[in-house]
Amino acid sequence: MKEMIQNLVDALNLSPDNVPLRLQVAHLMMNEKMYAEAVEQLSEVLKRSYGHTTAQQQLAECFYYLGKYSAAIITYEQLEFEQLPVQSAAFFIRSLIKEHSIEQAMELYRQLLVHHPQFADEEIDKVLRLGTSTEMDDEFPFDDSDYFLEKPTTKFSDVGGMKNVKNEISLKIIQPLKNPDLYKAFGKKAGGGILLYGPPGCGKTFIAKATAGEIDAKFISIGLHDILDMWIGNSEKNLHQVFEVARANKPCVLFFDEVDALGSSRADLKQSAMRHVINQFLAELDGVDADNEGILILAATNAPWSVDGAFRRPGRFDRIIFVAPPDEEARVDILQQLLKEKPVAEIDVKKIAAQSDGYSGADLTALIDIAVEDKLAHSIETGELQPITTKDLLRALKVHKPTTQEWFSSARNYALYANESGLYDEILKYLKIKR
Amino acid sequence: MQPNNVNISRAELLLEQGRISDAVKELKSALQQDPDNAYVYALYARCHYAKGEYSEGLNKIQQAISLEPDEAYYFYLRGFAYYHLNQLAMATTELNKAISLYPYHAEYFGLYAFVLLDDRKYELALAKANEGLELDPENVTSLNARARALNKLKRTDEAVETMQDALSNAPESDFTHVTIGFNHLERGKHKEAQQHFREALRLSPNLHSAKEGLKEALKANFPPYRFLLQLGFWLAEKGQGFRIGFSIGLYILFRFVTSMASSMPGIRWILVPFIVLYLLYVSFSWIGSSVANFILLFHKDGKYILNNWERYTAIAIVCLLLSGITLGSVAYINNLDINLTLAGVILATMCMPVSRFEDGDTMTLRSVKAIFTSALILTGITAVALSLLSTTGAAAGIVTGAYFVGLIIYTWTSGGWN
Repeated sequence: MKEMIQNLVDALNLSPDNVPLRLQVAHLMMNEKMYAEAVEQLSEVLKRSYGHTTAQQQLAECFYYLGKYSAAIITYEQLEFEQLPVQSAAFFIRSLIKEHSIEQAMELYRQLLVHHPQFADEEIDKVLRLGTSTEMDDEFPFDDSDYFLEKPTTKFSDVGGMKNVKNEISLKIIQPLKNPDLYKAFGKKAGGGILLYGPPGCGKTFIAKATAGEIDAKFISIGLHDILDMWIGNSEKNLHQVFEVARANKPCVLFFDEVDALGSSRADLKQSAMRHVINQFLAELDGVDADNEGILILAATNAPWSVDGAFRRPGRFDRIIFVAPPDEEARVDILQQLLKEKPVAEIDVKKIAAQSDGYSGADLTALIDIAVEDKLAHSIETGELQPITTKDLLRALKVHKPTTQEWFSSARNYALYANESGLYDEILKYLKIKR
Repeated sequence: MQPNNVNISRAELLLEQGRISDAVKELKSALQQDPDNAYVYALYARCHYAKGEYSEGLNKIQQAISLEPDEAYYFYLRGFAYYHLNQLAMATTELNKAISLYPYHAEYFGLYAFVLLDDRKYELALAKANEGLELDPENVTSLNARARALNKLKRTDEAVETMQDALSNAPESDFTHVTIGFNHLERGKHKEAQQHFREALRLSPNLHSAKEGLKEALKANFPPYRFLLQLGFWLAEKGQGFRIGFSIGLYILFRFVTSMASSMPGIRWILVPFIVLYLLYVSFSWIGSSVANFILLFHKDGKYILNNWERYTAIAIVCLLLSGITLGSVAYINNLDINLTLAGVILATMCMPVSRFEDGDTMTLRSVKAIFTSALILTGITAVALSLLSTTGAAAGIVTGAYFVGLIIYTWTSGGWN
C-alpha cells in the first residue's frame, strides 16, 4: 500500500493542481495512519481550494490523531457544526474534552443529540453523561452513591404545620405499607400517586422528602426541567431509566418537582415531541411493562392547571392535595426552627407569626435573612454582636412582602372560573370564597 | 430564525408553557453565548408581551430588527406591540413592512384587520381579514377580525356564520369566545354574551379581556346601564368629534328647553319630563357604571369580578348619594338651615369626582387628573364639615364656592381627560 501511495505522490508532483487526486492520497494515508503526511497533502489541497470542507474535516481528524487537539478544534471551528457528519462532530467533541473545554463539549453534544438522538459514544458519554454509561439498558448502574438517589432522615415531625397534608399522605402511602393486611382486606391496593400543588416556597419538596424519611425509603428527586434538558431529544429513554432505578431500589419515593413542565395541557401541546414524553410518563406511571409495587410517586407543581388531565386519572395522581402557606401555628414553628441557632434577644415569635399571614416558608426564611444582614452591618459598625430583636423582624416584614400573593391572584381566577370538577375547592376554601 | 442552541429550544418550550421568567433566564444565557442572535431578541420581546410589558418588548424587537432587518416576523412583532400600545398608525406601518417582506402569513393580515377595526375602518378591516382567510381559511385571528368587522357593519347573519366557522375550527379558542361575547354585547344580547365570556374564562381564567367582557355583560343586567352601554357603543362607532358634538348639542337643547319652560309657563308640564330625563342622563353617565358595580356586589359571580377600586368606589358613591339626598331633602322639607341643604347637595354631587376612581388600577395617581379630582373631593369634604359644624362666616362660603367652581370646571374638562 505504501508503495502505491508513493507512486501517487510522484504523480501529484507532476500535476500538483489535481485536487481530487490529492484528497484521495490523503485518505489513503489516513487509512495507513500516516497522519503527518496526510496533513501535508491536505494543507496543499486547502492552499489550492480554500475552504474545502472535506479537506478541513480530514485535516482536523489528522490533528486529533496526532494529539494536536487545539489545532483540531481551530479547524473544526471554521466549519458549521450542524453541517458536520456525525463522526466528525464526535471528533470535535472529543478534542474539546481533551482540551478540558467541557462546557463547550457538553453544549455541542446536546446539539448533536437533538439531531441524532440515538447517537452514543462511550468515550464522550463517560465524561459528559453524569453517572451513567451506555450499558444502562441492560443493568442498573445506579447505586446509593449516585447523584440523585438519597436516603432522607427528615421525618414528619420535622415538618411544621401541614396536618392535613400529612394525614392524606399517611392514609395513602404510609399506612398501606405499615398495615398491608388491613388494606388487602378492604381490597385497596397500595401505591398510586399524589400530586401536591400550591404557591411556591410552601414546603412541597420538604414534605415529599419527609414522606420518604417516615417510611425509611429511598428518595429520588427529579427536577423534570433539568432531566428534559440534560437529554433534549432523549428524554423518553431517560424517564424510563429513572423509573427502573426506583424499581431496583424499593421501597422508593419518586418525586417529580414542577411536573407541569412535563405534562403541559391543552394549547401547549403543539410540541409533539413533548407528547411522546407525556405518553412515556403515563406508561411508566401505569407500570405497563413493569411492576410499580413499592414505588410511591409524588409530584409537585405550582401550576396544577397546566398539568395534563390524563395525569389525574385513577391509578395515576389520583390524590391531589393543596399545600397552603403555613397557618399561624405553623409559622410559629417555622420561625422558632429558623431562629434556633441565631443570636437572638427575646423575640415575640407569636407576634411575628400573627403579622405574617400569607407568608410562605421561603418568605419567612427571607425575613430572617433580612434581619440578619441588618444586624451584621450593625455589629460590624459597633464592633459588638447585636442580637436580633422583634423589632428587626417587624421591620423586615415591611420590606419583604409575601411572594404567595401573585400565585393566589392567578389561582383565584382558576378556582372561580375553571373549577368544574371541584379541583380547586381547597383554594376557594383558603381564600374564604363561598360559591 | 432556526434555534441553534439548547437555551433557545428551552426558552421556546418555557414560553409555550407560560413559564415566562424561566424562559427569560434561558434567553439571557443564550444572549451571553451569542449576543447577535436576532431570534433570541424576538423571543425575549414575546416574553415581555406575555407579561403585558409592550414598551420593553418594543426595545427588544428593535434589537432583533437591527440585527436582521429583512425578517418579516420581527416587523409583525413590532406591529403587535404598537397595536397593544394603541399606536395604530405605527402598527399599520410595521404590518405593511411585514406583509411586503412576506405576504403569505395569514396572521399578519389578521392583526392588520384588528388594527383597522380599532381605527373604525370597518370595510378595510373586513378586506384585510378576508385576505388573511384566503391564505389560511382556518386562521383564528382573521376569522375573529372578520366577525368583528361584519358585526360593526351590521351584517349580522354573515357575522354569526363567521363566528360559527371560527368556533368549529377552534372550539377551545378563548379569543373566539371573547369576540363572540363582544358581538352579542354590542347587539344588546347580554345574556348570550355572558355565556361566551364565561366559556372564555373557563378556558383561560386569567384572560383579562374575557373578565372585562363578563363584567360589562353582568352590569348590563341592570337596564339603565344596558342603555348606557348601547349608547356608548353607538357613540364609539361615530368617532370622537361626533361624541363631543353630541354632548354639546344635547346641552344646547337642554338650555333651550329650560329657557322655553321659564318663558312659557303654559307648556312647562310638557317640558319638565325632558329636563328630568336630561338630568338623569347626565348624572347617570357619570355614576351609572359605579351604581351598576354596586348592584354587582350582590351578584354571585359579580362580587368576585370587581377589583378593589371598583368595589370601594361603588360603595362610596352609593353612600354619598343616599346620605346627600337624605340630608338635603330632610333639611329642605323641614326648612332647616340652608347650609345643611347645601351640604346635602355637595355630598350628592361629590359622586362625580369620586366616580373617576373606579379606574384606580389603571390611573396614574400622580397625574393632573388624579390630583385635581382628589383636591376637589377634599374641598367638598371640608365644605360639608364646615356646614355640619354650622360654621358661619367667610371660610365656609369660600370653601363651598370653591367646590362648586371646581365642580363646574371638572364636569366640563374631565370628559377631555378620558
